[in-house]
Amino acid sequence: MYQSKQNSLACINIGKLSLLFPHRDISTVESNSDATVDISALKLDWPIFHISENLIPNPVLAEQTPEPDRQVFAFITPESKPQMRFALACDQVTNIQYEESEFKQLPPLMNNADSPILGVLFREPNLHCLTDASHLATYLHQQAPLPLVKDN
Amino acid sequence: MLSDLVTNTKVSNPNVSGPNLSNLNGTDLGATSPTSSTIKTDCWLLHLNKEITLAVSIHQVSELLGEATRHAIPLAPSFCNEVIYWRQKILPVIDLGTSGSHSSIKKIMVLKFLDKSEGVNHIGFTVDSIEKTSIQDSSFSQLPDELSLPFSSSIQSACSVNDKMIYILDLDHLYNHHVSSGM
Repeated sequence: MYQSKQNSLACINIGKLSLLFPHRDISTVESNSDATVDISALKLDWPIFHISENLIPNPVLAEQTPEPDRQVFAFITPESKPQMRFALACDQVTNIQYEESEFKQLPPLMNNADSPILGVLFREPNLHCLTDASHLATYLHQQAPLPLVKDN
Repeated sequence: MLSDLVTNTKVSNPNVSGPNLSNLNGTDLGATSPTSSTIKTDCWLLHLNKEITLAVSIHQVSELLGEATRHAIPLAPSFCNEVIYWRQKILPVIDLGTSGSHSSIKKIMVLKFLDKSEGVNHIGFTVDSIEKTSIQDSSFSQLPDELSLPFSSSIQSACSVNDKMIYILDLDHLYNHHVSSGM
């Protein structure tokens, strides 16, 4: 019997940056043009992170509104650290299928101990960066600490 | 065009002595031409920018890429924060900032090396220009005590030519060691 070795991941696009997440890390996706500091989804409050294409976080301040071109929000929950959940402003969230053999490790030369990037996948013409909710949440809270959220 | 980048020179500095090509542990720098008094090794000089030049074996050169799409890797060291997709492999690209070159016309020299863990592996260097030359063993000198390069720990040897240091890299070491500071 034929068994497909293909799996799928959630693909979050932020400009030229493409981040791949396990689907289980994405609680939901919404489009919201009025979001400010926190937004609500699934009856919970979520701190918003805007990040650059170079993964530099810019937490949204109270007086700021989201950038007009980033009005899609991926609600991301680390399975082991749900109190570090956050909403990530992005351009779109799609699905990508892959085979394990397509993933490549970055050489140690390019490693950064703080980086949440776990590997890369090339799919013409784009390079996708694999991460997960736990690594990205840890990195974002290190770079731009926000209060941890409380369960409602 | 390759011809735009390539010049031919003969490098010789008999006044400098020290570790030479034939003493380099595990590094084949190319064809040697023994004579009665000197040993010359054919190699390519990679001018990475105005200050930094590398010498590599003619046998280490895989390809000179005129056009290659670079993909940025967030949070990677500044001197190596892009990769290219080449022959179904992801190659890191060392870029020390070429002088006056627009990114779209930067050339990338792809080098191969023996990776102790993966076998034959490859790495790319952005170059201002390249130059084919022969270096005499007597040209090699001791490394300076302090080097302000992002990959100083991977420099295996050096020679001085016209008062300019030319470095030989241990590419396996460079590829497989984390460099904490950028340039």
